[in-house]
Amino acid sequence: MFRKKLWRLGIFSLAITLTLAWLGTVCVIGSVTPQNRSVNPLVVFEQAKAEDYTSDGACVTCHQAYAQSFEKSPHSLYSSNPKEPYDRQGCQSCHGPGKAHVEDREQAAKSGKDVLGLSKMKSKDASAVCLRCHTDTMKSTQWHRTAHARADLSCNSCHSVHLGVEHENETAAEKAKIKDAVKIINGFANVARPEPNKMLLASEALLCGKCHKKELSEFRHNFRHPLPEGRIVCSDCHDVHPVRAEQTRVSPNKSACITCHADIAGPFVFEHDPVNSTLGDGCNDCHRPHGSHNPALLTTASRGLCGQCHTEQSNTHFPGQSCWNTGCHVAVHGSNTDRKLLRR
Amino acid sequence: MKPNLYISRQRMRTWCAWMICLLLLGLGRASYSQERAAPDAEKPSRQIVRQNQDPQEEKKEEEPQEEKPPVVPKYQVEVGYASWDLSGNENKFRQYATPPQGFFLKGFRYNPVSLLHGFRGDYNLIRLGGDDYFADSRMLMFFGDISFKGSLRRNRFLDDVITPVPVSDRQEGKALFKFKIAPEFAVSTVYSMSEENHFFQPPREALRQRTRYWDMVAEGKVGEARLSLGFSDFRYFDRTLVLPDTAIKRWRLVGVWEPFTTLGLEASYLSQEINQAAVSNHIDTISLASNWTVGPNTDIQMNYRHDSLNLPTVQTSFMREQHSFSSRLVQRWSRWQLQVGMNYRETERIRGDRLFLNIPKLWGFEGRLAGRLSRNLKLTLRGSTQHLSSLPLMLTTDTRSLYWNDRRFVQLKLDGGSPSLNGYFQWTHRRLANDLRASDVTSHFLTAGGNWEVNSRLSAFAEYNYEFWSGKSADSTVFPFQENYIPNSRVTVLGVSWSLTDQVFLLASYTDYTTDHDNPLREKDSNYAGRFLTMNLRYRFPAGHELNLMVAPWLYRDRIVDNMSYTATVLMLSGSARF
Repeated sequence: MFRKKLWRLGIFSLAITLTLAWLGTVCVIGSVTPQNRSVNPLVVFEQAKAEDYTSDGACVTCHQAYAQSFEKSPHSLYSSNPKEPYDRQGCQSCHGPGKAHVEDREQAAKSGKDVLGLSKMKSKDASAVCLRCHTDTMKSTQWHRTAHARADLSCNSCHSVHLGVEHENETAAEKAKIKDAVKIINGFANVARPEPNKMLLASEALLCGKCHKKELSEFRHNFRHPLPEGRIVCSDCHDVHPVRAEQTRVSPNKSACITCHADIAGPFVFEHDPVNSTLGDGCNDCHRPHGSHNPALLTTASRGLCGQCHTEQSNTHFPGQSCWNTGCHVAVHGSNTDRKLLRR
Repeated sequence: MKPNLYISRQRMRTWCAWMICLLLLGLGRASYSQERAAPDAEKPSRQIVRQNQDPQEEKKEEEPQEEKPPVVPKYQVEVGYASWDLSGNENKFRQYATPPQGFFLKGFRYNPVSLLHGFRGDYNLIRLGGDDYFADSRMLMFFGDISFKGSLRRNRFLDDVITPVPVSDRQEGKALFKFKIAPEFAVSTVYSMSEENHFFQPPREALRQRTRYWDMVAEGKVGEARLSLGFSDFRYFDRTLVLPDTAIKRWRLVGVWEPFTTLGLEASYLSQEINQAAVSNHIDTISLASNWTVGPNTDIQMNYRHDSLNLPTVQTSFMREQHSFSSRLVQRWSRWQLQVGMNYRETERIRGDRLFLNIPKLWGFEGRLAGRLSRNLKLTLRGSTQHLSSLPLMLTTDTRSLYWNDRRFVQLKLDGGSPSLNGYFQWTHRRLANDLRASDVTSHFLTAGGNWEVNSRLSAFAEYNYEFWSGKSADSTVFPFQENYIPNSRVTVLGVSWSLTDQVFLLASYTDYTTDHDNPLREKDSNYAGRFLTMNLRYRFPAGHELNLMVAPWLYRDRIVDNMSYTATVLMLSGSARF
């Protein structure tokens, strides 16, 4: 008994020691040749003085295409507000103080006083520039917790302030991917669909589909959520910007599905546990939300769906139809009148 | 007497019409004022010069601005003619949306770059008057201190059945208003109202329902933290009077504090009251979250959440309390990134007979490794596993647990190639298992595709998806087995994009899907094949106007119930003008 306890204590101590050693290494050694330039933009803005800034006219002289695209973007409205402080106006509100860059670009680069090029920065730093002003979208701590931030994406992976201007680091392969996605969606019925958000590089389906290829391909199935038809967009269900999403969600305790499918929101007198989201994936226990080869976006067809949990019932009443089609268990999501979900 | 809380369709239309009129009036007024008051108002808003700027420098910067930017068209109108040439099941053809037919207004867009100094807006109408339409508008005033967005949409569709059913529709109106009352503080409100009339084949009853949603938020910087206080009111009305009307009122308070640049903390409290048939249900949620940047390439995240539920409406089993905790570690190297995490959930579940309390525990682990194998080849490998212990005893005839107690997920992604020829491959595997019932469901998804840029004018792409499913259950010992209800399927996509000249473009895509299903009940929608070819030929005039011809021969076959099949040749000719 004593030996067992000693073993546990030893393993626990070893785990703690290794963790502390690793944390120490991380803190002391720090960065290991990052791929992109590592600049903390918040420090750059904090340390800048009024005389470090120049006029926007100086930027326009060389970067005309960028200036013209900026004029078309909604940002130009916000950044021209005379009430805003000088570090939130014009080009330098994002790119930082530019006087050194205008005077001698090479010298500025050497002394680390060059302007901030968002496409050349580490994703975390690039996002920090946007989040200086977009605190209503989310704070940086909220952004860092998202799956996109963890996968090293930044705001400008999906958004562009300079739409229509090709970024220097955008490879031909990247452009091809967008082209490819355009073709994929183009194959479906051409019906009424909203215009893509003006700050996005492409429509949501195309942008998300660049990385989430499996999910995009699921929308090609016979049964799907009507994304190709333009009736929904990815962000209707997915929290890309969690703070904004919360404002249009009915209930955080239930799956996002009930925002549109309000008839299954409940609570019901007789709940069906998977719908209740108590233990498991909620709606996703039975449905594939993007698309499926089974009707009603089910994971498994017909009676097989019920049979995968209620194994002892899988052959009851065979060769009848599915458990709900014949008018028996019609209230599969929950009932207010019948314990066996036979009536709504 | 029960108050009449329904919002009639007529009233909804009237409100939306008023909303559109007001927006048009606002846009028109602003545009008119701009023309009268400021002939040079279209000059870039960047003219505002900082107060501390040297006047000579001011002159210098004005010089380049004298170069006029290219004229951006304010209006775009698109009209067209379409025919379906449909034979077969119209319900299946219109299952998700209704394409235009006959002459139609495809779209109208009013998108001025700038209305007045400090004002901006745009307005889009797409297929107004058709079965499906969409309209939206946005106005930003006083340099964005006040913003207004509104949208209105309707979709008509049919349930995919053989018997004739009435046309279903769904319409939704949304509005958002935001007012920045201080540099770092704003109030905003979201309002949405939707109506759904969904008709099914009997004996399934129709859905005729309305939902109304209000949300108000005041948020901004308070001291060193950021606070957000919100209230929302959701109403559900069932016009068939089968389901009870439901009202969900919710208060939430969220605080975010970043004491150091490397540490962020968030706490939130949420209180929900769900009123249904004179019974009040209550849910309280507290959550805490943190993000700690340990080093330049390392992050640690931790989340805790506690839910407390009081649901007198529910007579079956329900969750009374739930604690969940998760943590993640993200480590980056020059070319690789690693994420590892764990999550734990403990639930107090009251059994349906109210005699027993179960405390099932759910443990989960996850990992993700992403990086570059070579300069042009990217690899992502991720996986997760979940295990449920302390399984509850069920009150059904068979008391073995009905829950999956083991879940596994693995995904491999490879992506790379040269700029002119690149491809991708994905393999996704899932397994759900219930050990007590000796049942499991396993799936494998394979996706492979690629792009070929033949030259600057011609490119082609192809993608192939295959889904392989299997399942078994110790209880299904005679035909049909669990396996017989789990079909496989494949989807193939081919496409080409060709710029014939600088003005003529051809886009074509072909989609083919099919299933492989034993279908022991010989049901519809189980053994089918679809072939969809869509070709677009576009001619762009030098002034930016466009002519577009779409020809789309589509074929859908149900091999069991032939009445579900259809063939259609969608023909659409449209022209757009910009001015």
